[in-house]
Amino acid sequence: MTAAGEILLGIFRQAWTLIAGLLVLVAILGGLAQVFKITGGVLLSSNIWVSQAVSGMLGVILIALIAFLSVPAIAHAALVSSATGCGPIAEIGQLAGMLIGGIGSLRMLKGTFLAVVSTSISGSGGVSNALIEIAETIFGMLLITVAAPVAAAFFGAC
Amino acid sequence: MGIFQVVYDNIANIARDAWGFMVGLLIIVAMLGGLYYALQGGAGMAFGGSKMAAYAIIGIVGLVVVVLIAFLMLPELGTLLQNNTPKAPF
Repeated sequence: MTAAGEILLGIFRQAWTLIAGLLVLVAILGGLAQVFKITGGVLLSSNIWVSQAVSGMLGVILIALIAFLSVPAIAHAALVSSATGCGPIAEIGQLAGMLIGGIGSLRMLKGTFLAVVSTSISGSGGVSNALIEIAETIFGMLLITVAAPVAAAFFGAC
Repeated sequence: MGIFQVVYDNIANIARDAWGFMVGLLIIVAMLGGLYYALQGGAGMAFGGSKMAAYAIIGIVGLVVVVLIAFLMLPELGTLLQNNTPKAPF
């Protein structure tokens, strides 16, 4: 079971690297698109366009940077705090905790990726959706860390 | 990146092409904008419109500054992001 878990975690790690790489690509291209908007705004003498594009470009980079710094910290904190049960189900609990942590981290990164894509095209709902997804993931992970010991105690494993 | 390497390489190639296309387009737009401002400034000078000429000079300088800032700043920001790409926390 541990070997199967390791294989899955390896795939999750590779997916994490892929999403992080794509996030960088999208952020850079989104920044360039905002530069287009700035240039158009300058040519058409549109102050609103210029200000929107400048804030959009900085926003894209900031969201990506904050995501890169905060998502691993959040995932690490949630994983460290996970009590994985006791007795014979300790191993299963540990494995489940790792897998849930991996899926949760991927989900948070995916939410951030969508936020960056949305901001790149001047969308407004992406960031709030990403925040909701991150909050859902954290709550889910915390809930599971509570549920595993309770279930273990209920079934008399501890 | 393991099994996703092929996917990433393909998308990165497309993104690289898109980057080159957009940079080229940006240069063309900036050059056309510069030409427009040059015409405006020329007309202003020909007809004694000092305000027109001043706006044109400011516009052309602003355009160059914007494009230069973008070309210098964006690659730096991209490098910053790439350097801060985190490893998987699990």
